[in-house]
Amino acid sequence: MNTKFYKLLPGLFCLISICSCKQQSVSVNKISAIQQKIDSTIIADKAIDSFIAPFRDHLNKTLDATLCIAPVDFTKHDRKLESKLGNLTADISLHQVEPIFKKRYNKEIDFVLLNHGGLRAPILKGPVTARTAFEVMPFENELVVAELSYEKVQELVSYLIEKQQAHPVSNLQLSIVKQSKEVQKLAINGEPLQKDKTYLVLTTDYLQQGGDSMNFFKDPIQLYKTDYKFRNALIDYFKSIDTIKVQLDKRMRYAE
Amino acid sequence: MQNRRRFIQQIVSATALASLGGGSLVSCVKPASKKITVLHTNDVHSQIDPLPNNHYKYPGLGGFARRASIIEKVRKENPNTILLDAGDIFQGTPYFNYYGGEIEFKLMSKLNYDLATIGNHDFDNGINGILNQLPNATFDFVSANYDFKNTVLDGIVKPYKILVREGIKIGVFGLGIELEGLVNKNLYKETQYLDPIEIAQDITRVLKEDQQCDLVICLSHIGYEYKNAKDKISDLHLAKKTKDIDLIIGGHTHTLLPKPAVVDNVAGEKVLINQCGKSGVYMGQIDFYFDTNGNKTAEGRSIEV
Repeated sequence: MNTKFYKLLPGLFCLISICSCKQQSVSVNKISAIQQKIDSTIIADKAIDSFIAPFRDHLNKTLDATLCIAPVDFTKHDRKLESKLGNLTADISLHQVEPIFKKRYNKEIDFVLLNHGGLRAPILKGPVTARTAFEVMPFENELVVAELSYEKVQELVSYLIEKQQAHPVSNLQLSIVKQSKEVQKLAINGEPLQKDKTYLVLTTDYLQQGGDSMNFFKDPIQLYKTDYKFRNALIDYFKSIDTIKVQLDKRMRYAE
Repeated sequence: MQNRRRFIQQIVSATALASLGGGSLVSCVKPASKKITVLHTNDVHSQIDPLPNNHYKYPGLGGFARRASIIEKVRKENPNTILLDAGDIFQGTPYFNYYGGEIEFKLMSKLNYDLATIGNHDFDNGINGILNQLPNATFDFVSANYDFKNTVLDGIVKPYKILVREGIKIGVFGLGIELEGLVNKNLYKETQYLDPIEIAQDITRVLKEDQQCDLVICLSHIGYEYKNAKDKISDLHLAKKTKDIDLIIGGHTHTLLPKPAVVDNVAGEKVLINQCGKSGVYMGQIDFYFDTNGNKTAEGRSIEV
């Protein structure tokens, strides 16, 4: 066959298709659906499982050593404005970064704000491992400290009131009147917000760059890096203790 | 508006040639067998193994090896099965942190996925993180409202693809969520987000009228609905404001629908929306039965979901 014939082929195909099947149409006359539950009654495909096995073995060795114990489940769904997991992770961040920050910049962190959506899994009752930390915080976010003006902290508080979500906070108490969305009580480090002061707020680089629409973090007076991953802060803390003790304490709540 | 039109035109001219070649020949064969099965997952989030047995919401569910068995069984029953994913393949277990998405793409290839769309978390290792893993994927990505023109994914991720199964043309296009405020710009770089509804209106016209697709599926990562922000664009808005979409496969909101939602589109026709939670705990299966004589029954299509 010569090459010219090949060149004609596409055209020929088009012609055939136009002539022979333009008239024929199909239409859907019935649709049915099922949600296939992927549970333990299904026998795992052996070839797929043996592909995964070496990767799984390597990860398990690294990740499954017990670091400490969780006496109860820590989820982010306890109350509308506060959760055990949120309190724990915000407190850990502060606890782990405080000494580094003091040493490096000779300054004190005022409070912590993380985001509810960033906590991706609960810490379940039982042994806590590096895997747990990966599940809670799969992202590579680093902890940063943003120095905010009085006005920006006001924006931050307005954000919390507007969203009414259990965003993790530490060293901040906020009580909100649900109907009027007014602040009943606001305390940072146990003190009311002061006009002439700037605030050092510990958060993640993701949120600092405007993640979750936390735009008040975007142009801070100063930004301090810690070079410390949020997940590594969790792992280091788990290694340093025996039992997790953080509880709900109404740090963010509705006015009664 | 101008930009969007030009964007669509470029897409159409680029893909028209490709679909003329192979597609039209096979589309002549429309045999008696007339059932298309659509299997789909969303927000698998690197859940390679089943979730732990003490998981608070979905104890012991999911896992690629089990999903593989079900997919094989369904394919045996109906070889005309397509397998789709609605994004957020990456991120959620250490498999991703350690291996960067290699395992996810390799497994999806082994399971013979046909197409996937891009979710916000698929940018977690940057747009280069997607590009670097593409050699591990035998399936393609579709996204119609991310304009990748000034990025490394330019020309690689297509707005839509047409799958042909025994002569039935299935147009599948992708939609992604607004990245600003959700993903750091240094990760998604110059990816431009375009209005999903406007893009969907244009693409469905291309798929239905120009390409003569028998079935139009949207792989959406824009979310099922936002109860606290009713106006935020979601699959429910998309279904109501467009026409000619048969099925929206959703993601992002991790919604586990007990069964697909049925919504009236702008032309008063029924659109199915389905989403299966997260982590591969469920896999959706939708069976489309075709009448090859082209006779529409008086009642239209019957939906048994």
